[in-house]
Amino acid sequence: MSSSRSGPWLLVAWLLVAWLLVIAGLVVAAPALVGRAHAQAASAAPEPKAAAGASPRAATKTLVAKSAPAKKPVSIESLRAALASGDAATAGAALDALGTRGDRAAVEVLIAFLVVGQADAWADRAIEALGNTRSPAARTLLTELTQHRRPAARLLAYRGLGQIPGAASDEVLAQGLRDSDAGVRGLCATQLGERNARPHVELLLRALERGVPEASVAIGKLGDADVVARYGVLLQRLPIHVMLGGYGEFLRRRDLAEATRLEIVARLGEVAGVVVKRFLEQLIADGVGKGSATFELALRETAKRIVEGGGR
Amino acid sequence: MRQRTANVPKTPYDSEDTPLRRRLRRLGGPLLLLFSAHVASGCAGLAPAFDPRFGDNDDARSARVLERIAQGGDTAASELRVVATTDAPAQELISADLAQGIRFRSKVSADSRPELLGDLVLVSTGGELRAFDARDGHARWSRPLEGCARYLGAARDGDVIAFACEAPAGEKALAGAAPSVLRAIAAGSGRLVWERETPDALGRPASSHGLLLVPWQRQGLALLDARDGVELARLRSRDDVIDWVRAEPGYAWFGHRQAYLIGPRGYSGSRKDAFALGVAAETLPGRPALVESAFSALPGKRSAHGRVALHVAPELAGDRLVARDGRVYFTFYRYVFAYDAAGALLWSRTLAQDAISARAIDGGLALVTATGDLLLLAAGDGSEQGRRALGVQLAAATIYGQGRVPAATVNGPAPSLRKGLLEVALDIDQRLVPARAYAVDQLARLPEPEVTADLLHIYGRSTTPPELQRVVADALRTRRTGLEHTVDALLQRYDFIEQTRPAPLAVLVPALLDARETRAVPNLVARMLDHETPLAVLGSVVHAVVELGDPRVVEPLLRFLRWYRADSTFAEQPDALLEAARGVLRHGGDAGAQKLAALVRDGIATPALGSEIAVLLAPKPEATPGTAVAAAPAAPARPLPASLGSPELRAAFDSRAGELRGCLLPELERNPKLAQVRIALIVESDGSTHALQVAPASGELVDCVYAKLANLRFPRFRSGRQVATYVLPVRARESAAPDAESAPGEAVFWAFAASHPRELTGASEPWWHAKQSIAALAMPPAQPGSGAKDNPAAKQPANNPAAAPRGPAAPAAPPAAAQGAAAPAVGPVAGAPAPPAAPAAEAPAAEDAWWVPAAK
Repeated sequence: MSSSRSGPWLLVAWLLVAWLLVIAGLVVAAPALVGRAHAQAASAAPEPKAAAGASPRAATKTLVAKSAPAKKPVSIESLRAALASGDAATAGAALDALGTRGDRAAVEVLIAFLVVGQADAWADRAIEALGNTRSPAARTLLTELTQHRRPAARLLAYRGLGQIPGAASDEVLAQGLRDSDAGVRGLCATQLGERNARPHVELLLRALERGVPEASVAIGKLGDADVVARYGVLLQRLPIHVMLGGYGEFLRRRDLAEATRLEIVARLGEVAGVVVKRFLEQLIADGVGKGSATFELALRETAKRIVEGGGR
Repeated sequence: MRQRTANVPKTPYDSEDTPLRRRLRRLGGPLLLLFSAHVASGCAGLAPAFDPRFGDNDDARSARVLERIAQGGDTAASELRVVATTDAPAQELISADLAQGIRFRSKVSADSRPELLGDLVLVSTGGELRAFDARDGHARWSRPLEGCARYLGAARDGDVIAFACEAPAGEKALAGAAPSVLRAIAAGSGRLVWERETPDALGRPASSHGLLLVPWQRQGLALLDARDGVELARLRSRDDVIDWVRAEPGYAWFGHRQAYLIGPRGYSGSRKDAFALGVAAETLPGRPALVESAFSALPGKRSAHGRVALHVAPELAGDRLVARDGRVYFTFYRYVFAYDAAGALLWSRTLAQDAISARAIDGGLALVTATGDLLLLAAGDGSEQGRRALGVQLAAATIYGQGRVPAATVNGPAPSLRKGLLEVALDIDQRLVPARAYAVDQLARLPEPEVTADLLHIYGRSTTPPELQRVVADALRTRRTGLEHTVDALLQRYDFIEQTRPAPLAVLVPALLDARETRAVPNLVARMLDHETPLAVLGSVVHAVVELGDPRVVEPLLRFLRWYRADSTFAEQPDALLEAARGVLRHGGDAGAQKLAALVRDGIATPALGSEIAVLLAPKPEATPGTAVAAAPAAPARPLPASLGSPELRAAFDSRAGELRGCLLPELERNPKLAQVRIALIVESDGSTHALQVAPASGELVDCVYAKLANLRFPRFRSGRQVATYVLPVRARESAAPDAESAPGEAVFWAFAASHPRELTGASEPWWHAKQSIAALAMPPAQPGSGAKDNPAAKQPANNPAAAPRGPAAPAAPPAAAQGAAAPAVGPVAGAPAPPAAPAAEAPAAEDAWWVPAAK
């Protein structure tokens, strides 16, 4: 090879190597640069003296800890003052912080804020914060707020109750199934399912029959074999996509007897239809059948048997 | 003097016979003959019957015919019989009775309802009058009904059958003329015996002892000799209508809505001598006549004729006409009502099918239904005491003869009047709403407390039509017994699972208020705090809490106020909150006023509400002794007007116009094409109202309007009742007025608008602003001192519901609360002093959009 031909290629190679070295250097040097910045910030403070008998490691730890920016806990008084500041951003942040705190004092501040009556936006934000406290102390006011005239406020109250454990919350959520607002009914049904509120399965079945589609998933999470049979009665009356919501939950549950689940699959096979086929295929893809060869085989065979374009 | 001899010829100058005399002699005979004929005709020139020159109410003539009527024997069949036509497709004539059922069936398509006249059954069919044997139904004779446009019916006297027809109106007939013909035919052959024509209306005759009683011109009764058709006497009513006549053994009775007697002691055609045989027919649905009109044809085909009728069997008690058994019956399709002689309702029954004919007999009522069931109902309680199923569908029927309904209770005790009326009211036959409304009205008059629960049950059923609901609502308003049921009914609320509807608060609350039922307060408070209580009636609920409550309602009212004083729910309709504030002031005393002031002082309440409450809290100016004006002497009481004029009616409605407009906005959201709301109601002389009608009749709008007008009172007037109407336009350009009144001298179509210029006071926020967040950005900033601190980040009113709690634009800060508030000062407390109560913020002079309702 002549030098005239290889020259440019050599130049390119050298440039590439140089570029790679620069990149590597930056990667290596970055932590050191950051550490220096922290050191400069802490340079104003006197170096802590190592306590008598303290190990160097502990001293280092102490130094490192003190070199990091300190997080001060926010007091209730300061949050209360922030609420009264008149500044929207500050007050809003105070509400969120109260919700995050979750202690009794925060609950009391939020309750006092709500009971005097607030404009919609503030009331809703405070209700949400109250629910976020997850404190049983908030249950009483949240229950009262489930009777608020605005559906949005009721929705937030029910959502908040859903975060508070206990059967008492379940009772209130069950009453929400009777509400005139569809969103409230749906939320309550979903919450009851997520909270494993088995005593309210009967009411959920009635709600589903009346027209609360969210109840199907909840029923699927809570119902036993008897409920499966009663649920199946609705198969010819309710939309298939609603029913599949519940069936999906039934089939995912390991605590439900395999015979019951196989019966469900068989029933769905009778219904057939492309929607059911896709549903079964999705279950297979999600690995629902794993752990039981019989069940998995049933899923596959049923899905395979359903011809696209037929059924519901 | 010259003397003449016999042989001297006479000259003309000698003769006494002049040409004039000869001419007169030639003409004298015919003239004399003509004169004689004229005199003769003047003495005997009346038509045999229906001559206008015939004297009426002549005592001498009447006396003679009254004797004959008094001698009239019993011509009615002894047993109860039904003659009827069957329904399509194969029409037949049948005769039946309770004992044997159907006696005969003959194929005939009858145009008229069959008539049983002795041994014949008569029907008109296809322009012919046909007679059938009453025993076996074989055809006896037929004759054409020439010159008979409409057959009205017949009567029989011995061998003569007389029938009336409406004749075809000729080309030269006067407008409104109803030429008629009365024909008498031989019963055995149908041969014509005589006939009488008249240019006036004739009705179906009755017969009694050789007499024919023929209604004529609806004002008279012509009494003809049945043998030759000569009019013997004529009775004319001075002040009533003669629409029918019936002959009974020994007397006859006639009339229209009242009955008059032709009895042994004479007759009278004056209203003052009419007999009231029971219930006032004009109060009944369908306003039935006492007897079917003789001037109406009785159709033989299926029709509504005869399905709304009164039935009474009269009898003579001395010289008075009374109802047999003291009973008058009213049939309205499937419902039967029975009244006593005083008109009091005794019982009611619901049949499975329509009653197409009925007859009052001894001991009760015989009736036949459209499905061919013969029934006997007892006079005492309406229990069924006899039944015969004929197994055919009937089109038209008539019941003849006498019989007796057994008194013994065969099928068990009949339901009570209350149960019977309830059954009628709860029936779902939507054809019969007028009668169901009547049953509700009658039910509401019963004093039993359970009736209140019945009325509530009727109102709450989904099958109850709105017209019936209004009747129930009016009835509940006036009930003073069984109010505990009304109180309990307040607890009924909406439940999605149970599919229950909320209590009809628009009806219950006014009723409880009128009755001053303080037991209802706890339930009213519960409804006040219940989110399912419709906003349209919430104001009246709060009002009731305030009116009926005591100091114990102060805390719930305060709680209600606190919850919603800044809530968008009441931004457009703060009536309920204002009423709650009034309640706090009324029952809370000074402490209540202080708490109310605190609610305003902290600035959380909306500016509009705050200013209204501030007005309530403002001290009332007291009259100082120096400025007290001596009360003017009371003006003498003005006499009550005979009725209310348009200005009085309009003024009463206008006093509620503002409240009524609160009902328009929600309805406008449901129905954007709404242009106006029409309201009509009946005003009684004492100023009370009922029978409210609203158009469009959507449920929410009606409930809202009803709540606003439930306690509306008009000025009193002398007597009677009148209808008041009111039009509430949605468009701001028109002012509410009962009817458009032309301005004096109006000549052009725009004159009305020119004479009623539009007035826009401080317009409220347009309704669409609450729905479109982007429109909210165009709103002007809140006025200074309004109690709300503006967020410099977004120029939005503090309580604008369109402001999102999340998102890039932070909401306006919570309004500053006053320092030292009674409640724990946990609300945002501003360092600056609390702002004074702000005046109502004036909305920008937006374009006069046509959909913006006028504020006042």
